[in-house]
Amino acid sequence: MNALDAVRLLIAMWFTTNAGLGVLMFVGVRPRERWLEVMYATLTLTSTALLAFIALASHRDEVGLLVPPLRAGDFEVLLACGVTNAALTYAALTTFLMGIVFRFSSRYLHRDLGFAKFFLWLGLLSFGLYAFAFSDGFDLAFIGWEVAGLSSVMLITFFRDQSRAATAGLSAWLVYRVSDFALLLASGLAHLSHEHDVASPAWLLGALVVFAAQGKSAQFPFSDWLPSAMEGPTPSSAVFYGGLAIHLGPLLLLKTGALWFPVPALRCAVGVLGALSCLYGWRVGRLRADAKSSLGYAAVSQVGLIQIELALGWHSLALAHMAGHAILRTWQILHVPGWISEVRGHREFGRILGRVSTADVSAVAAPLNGYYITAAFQRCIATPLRRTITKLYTLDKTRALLAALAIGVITAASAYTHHTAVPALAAIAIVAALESLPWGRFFFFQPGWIALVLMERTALLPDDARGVLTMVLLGLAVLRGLYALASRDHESSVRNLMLAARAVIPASWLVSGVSATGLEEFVWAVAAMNFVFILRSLRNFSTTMPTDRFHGLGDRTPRLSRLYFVTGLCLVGFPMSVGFLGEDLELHGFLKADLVGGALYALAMSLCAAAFLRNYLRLFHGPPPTSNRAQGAELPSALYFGLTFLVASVVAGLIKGVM
Amino acid sequence: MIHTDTTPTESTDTVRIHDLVNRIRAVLPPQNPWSSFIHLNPLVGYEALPFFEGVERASRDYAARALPGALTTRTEHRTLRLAGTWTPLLGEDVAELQREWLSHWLLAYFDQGVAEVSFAEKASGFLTYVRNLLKASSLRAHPALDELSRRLESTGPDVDTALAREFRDNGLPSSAWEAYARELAFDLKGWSGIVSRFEMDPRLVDLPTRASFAEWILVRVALENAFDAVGCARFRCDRIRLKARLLANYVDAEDSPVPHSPFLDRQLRAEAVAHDPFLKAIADRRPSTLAAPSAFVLTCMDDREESIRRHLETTDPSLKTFGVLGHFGIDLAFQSKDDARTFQRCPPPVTPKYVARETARSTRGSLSRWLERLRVEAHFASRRPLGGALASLVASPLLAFDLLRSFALPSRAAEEIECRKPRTPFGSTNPDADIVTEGDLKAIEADPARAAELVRNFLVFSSIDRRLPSLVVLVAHTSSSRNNPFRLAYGCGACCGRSGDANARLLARLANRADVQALLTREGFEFASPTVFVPALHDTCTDQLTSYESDVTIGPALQTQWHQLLATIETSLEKNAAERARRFESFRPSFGRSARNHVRLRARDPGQVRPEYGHSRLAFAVFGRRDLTRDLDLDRRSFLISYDPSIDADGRTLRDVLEASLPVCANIHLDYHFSALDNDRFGAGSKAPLNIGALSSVMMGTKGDLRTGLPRQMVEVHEPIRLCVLVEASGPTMQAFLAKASPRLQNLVRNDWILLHRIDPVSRDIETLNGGRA
Repeated sequence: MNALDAVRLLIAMWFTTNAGLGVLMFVGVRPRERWLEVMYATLTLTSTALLAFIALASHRDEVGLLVPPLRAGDFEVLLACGVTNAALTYAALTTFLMGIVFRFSSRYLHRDLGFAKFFLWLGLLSFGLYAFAFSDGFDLAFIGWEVAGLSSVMLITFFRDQSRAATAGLSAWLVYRVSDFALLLASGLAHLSHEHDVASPAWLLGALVVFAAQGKSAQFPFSDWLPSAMEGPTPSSAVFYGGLAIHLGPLLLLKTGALWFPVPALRCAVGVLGALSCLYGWRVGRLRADAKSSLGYAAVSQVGLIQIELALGWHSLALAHMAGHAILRTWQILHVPGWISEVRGHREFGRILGRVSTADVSAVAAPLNGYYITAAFQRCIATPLRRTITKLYTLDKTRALLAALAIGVITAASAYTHHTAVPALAAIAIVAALESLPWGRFFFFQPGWIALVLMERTALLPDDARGVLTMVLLGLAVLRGLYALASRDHESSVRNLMLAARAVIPASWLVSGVSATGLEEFVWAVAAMNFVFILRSLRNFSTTMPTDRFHGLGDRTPRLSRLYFVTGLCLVGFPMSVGFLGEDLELHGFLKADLVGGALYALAMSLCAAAFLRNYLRLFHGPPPTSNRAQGAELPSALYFGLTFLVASVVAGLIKGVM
Repeated sequence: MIHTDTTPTESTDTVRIHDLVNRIRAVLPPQNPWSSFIHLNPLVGYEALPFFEGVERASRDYAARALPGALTTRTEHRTLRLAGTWTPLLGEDVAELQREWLSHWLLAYFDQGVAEVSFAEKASGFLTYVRNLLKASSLRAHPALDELSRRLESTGPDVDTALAREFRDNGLPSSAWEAYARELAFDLKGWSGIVSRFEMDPRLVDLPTRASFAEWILVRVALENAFDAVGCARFRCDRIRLKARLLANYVDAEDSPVPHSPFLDRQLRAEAVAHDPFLKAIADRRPSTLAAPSAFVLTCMDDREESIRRHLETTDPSLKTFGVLGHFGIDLAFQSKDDARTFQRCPPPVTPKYVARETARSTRGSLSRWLERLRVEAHFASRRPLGGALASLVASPLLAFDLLRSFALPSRAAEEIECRKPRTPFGSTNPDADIVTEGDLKAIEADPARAAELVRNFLVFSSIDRRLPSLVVLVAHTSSSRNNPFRLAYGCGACCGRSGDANARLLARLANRADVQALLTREGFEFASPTVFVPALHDTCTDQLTSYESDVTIGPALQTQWHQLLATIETSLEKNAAERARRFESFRPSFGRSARNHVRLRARDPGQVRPEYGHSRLAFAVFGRRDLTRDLDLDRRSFLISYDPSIDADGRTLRDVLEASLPVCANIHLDYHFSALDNDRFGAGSKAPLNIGALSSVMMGTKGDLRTGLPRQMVEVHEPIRLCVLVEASGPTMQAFLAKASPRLQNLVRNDWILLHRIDPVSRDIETLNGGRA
């Protein structure tokens, strides 16, 4: 066994155990506390041994694949891992802090109903962090990055009856999506340059990476989500927002130094943003009067300092700072419950009070308001955007919109692609007309799609129209994604989500030929069926499901909520779900054709993911309903899964057959 | 139903507003910050109503359930706020936004040392602070804040007038104002309650902060009005008409009748099932009086000491135990080596008369003192950029070691501590250190007559036998735990959540004096020659007993007996730990750990959310001679207060004891009762996500309301049934007492908040003193 084998073993071990636990819990098994304690203690000890071995046996230059490359056409996913000092340090830190937190939580969450859920998400976080730390290249890194993000959100929203926690989780998720969008794009561009030698501008990859790091580590101007994310159990807050997850940004910068460090502008940007975050975290945090958010802002300001160190090229110092800071904040946040008796009850408390300075509130109004960043975002971006989309949405939905969109995009696209617009216009007119047929509640009925397939098959589609049509479909997907996010009614939100996800499928055919795997169609069909089924079942509770409030159905229908969650993850192509490979493939296809198309695609997928999680949280989180209506709306049995699968296979087969 | 009335004049409004604000204040949860916690009935404002009716009314205000198992009282149709109207229109949760902003302002204003900066406006009040803050904010997050700023700008100096103006402005008839303001106050009930407490007792804040409940309500109402104004302006609707529609559907909590619930019968049955066997067991007992006890052990009346008393008496049947109020009759304000200032160590309503301090401020070495100093400095410095960087780079190895030792392997750490000299529990006095008295207490120590009077009062009050054996142990109690915001709730209820060891030591110091004993002999007390009072401290979490032997001289004649007694205590503590450990799921006897090690570990473990179960399962209180309950296993469910009717002919002691102890019993019990009844609404919810706000209270996450009541982990084994109180007294004495009892006690008894029974000292008949059980 060499060092790389040990790395593979480490990552595989965390993946299989936690994925296995996840599947068990999905089908309703509730593992006993004692088993989980033993399992995670064993995992921690084994990881310690493996890391020790890696540290001793490695020459710090091994690079290898985690699994054999996954190929589809000319595209291949390379889950490469490597051993570096940074990776080893971060992995050691993960093992240490996660081990402590596993031990701590076994008492802290003893007898809590969500005990197993808590350990599962912490376990998945461990997997994500190891995968990210040891990754070499974007593919594996992106998986780790996403898994860490999702588990963070799931632990913020750990207490299902708390709507404030759900809101905080959602705002964290939105920032994650923004930074994931950048990383996804970077990953696609990296593939392109690797496989096709299509070089993108040197600064672009670097800029994307820097941008991604800012969001994930709550750096300026994204800082406010982190302190308000401290809604979950204390140990998870400690490990995420004090210890490990917050340092993913600097670690990404450390790993991708080659991309941004040589570009002076980016180096400057990293340093300046770090300095701004440092100042922001300090000035705002010193006015915060609750323990956890004041520590959260303090963490933001330290990560800012680490960024400055990175921009200056002091990598070892940054790494040491990161490790020390993770330990410091974890320790502090774990000690927060004792603040009243151990700080205020401290005999030197008078001395502490003596250090408090006094100021007029008008002098500190700006930092007390977070320098108006949230306010500006609310008043200048969020509210107008929401209002515009809502207004658009309340117009006669499809017709007016499609017409406007089609004309706009065609004009832009014909200028962009230097093609004549006439044949494209014809194709679009047909698709749009068919799409705007009244379809009632179903999103299965998709004449436009079928028409497109037929046109493609019978070579009716002019070659000129392909590029334009792709852009139209992607534009449509983005718009649908926005609708899904802004929609007030749950059903229409889901419908738009499904339409957005569907619009990208034919677009992908248009650029790269009919999909090689058929995965997307399959996933889409299953997801559509699941959503129809779930919404139908939920109609027992209420005839309307507005998305602007929390319905708290999670406790009433735990199985439905799990099904909804997993379905949505697959649909938006979350790593480790079946949709992921399809998503990667599609992105690759679009990017190969056109950078703008790729960006639109990544944007559409990010919007879908945001909309999906928003819907999920609004439906299943929040205070449970007080009425007694519809006790029996829960998913009937496991039979349903079998049936879904069967029907979905048939549908997918039919679609394939048509083509 | 609220009826529209004629428009009143401004001056009458202002008078009414004042009463209105006071009435709302009275029903809010009366909870202190956790830095000086005391148990109180959270529904103390509803005590004037019969129990089930009061709880039903409260459940409407709290949106909680009124009976175990019942559904939460629905609130959708009971609102006078337009927040629910604006939410879908504006596309944002209006009520939640308001809560977020208000809690943000309140937290910063009432902060007691989390933030590094405090405000000059703390001296002039919350209203000025909010006004200045809004005025200085150049970009406000929402148009409603612009409107609020305008409103607050134009308020005059008189809060009541301003409130009247805001009320008149909101479109409701004046008869509905109170219900409206109550709804708004309960929307952030933790904050409303604590602001009111801060105003009533300025000692609760360490950083001088002016608190005014009326100002808070003014800001609250003005913000609601601001939203209404913004909403009405944007959607061009008429506020009065909207409000009239709300009012038409509104059912006031005060007016609507209490429906008969099937859960009521269930509750009564549950109470009968618990109480009847208990009463019967006591009535059936044939008491036998102990001839000549070898020693007295005086413990607190606390239900957690019931088991240790039982184990002491079964281990050594010649012992006699008494249950007294844990402050040992000394109304003390005391500063121990661990305290920054003096803290009250007598029952909450009493104002401390005496002051004392522990001399040796620190007995630890210079290294630990240095570390402690560092921790003080690190409180702010570790959150600053450079300080944080320094701490990260320098202190983190130490912290990593601490994480490993005390978080991951607390058992090893606990054993280590045991190997060294056992530490005295936090907040209690060190056996080596001396206690210095000040002021009046010093004068008492100098004057034998006054000292004798103090001791005599205590002995009479506690109904201690006139004939005292050679050893009297005064056992105070405390409870160790780490990383626990609720630590004071585990302490001694008669000492405001701290320990009574200083009181015991001071009392022993007086009672052991020969001149005092001589004076008392003249008053009819008989002392063995000599009688030695030995103070001690029982840690109810670790089941360890610290005896302050060094305070007293135990003569050679008594040495054998003393050591025997210590051995008895040790055995009893072991039995006690075993009895307690049964309730802990994580106690696994098969792993070869003794119960005592297990409970000790719970106290030392910073990850332990259930150091002990406190007063959980408390259901009874017995005021009477120990003979009534001796050898009876009450399963740690009963307060036991010593009272001897045979030496209290005029009923004066009965009055003193009941007036002092019964409210304490009721407060503790009702605090547990309601937290267990609906933990989300009356209680603090799960401990796992709790955050510390303003160094005063706990909150969920970083925004929103402060949580009141007790956490789920503390009350999860508590069964919410009413307290059954049994008093051993003759009929006339009891009647005479009830006729002249304090108003609160009369309410508690007459309205069935406690179920009071009397057992006749002679005939052993039990009489119910409430108007029945419902």
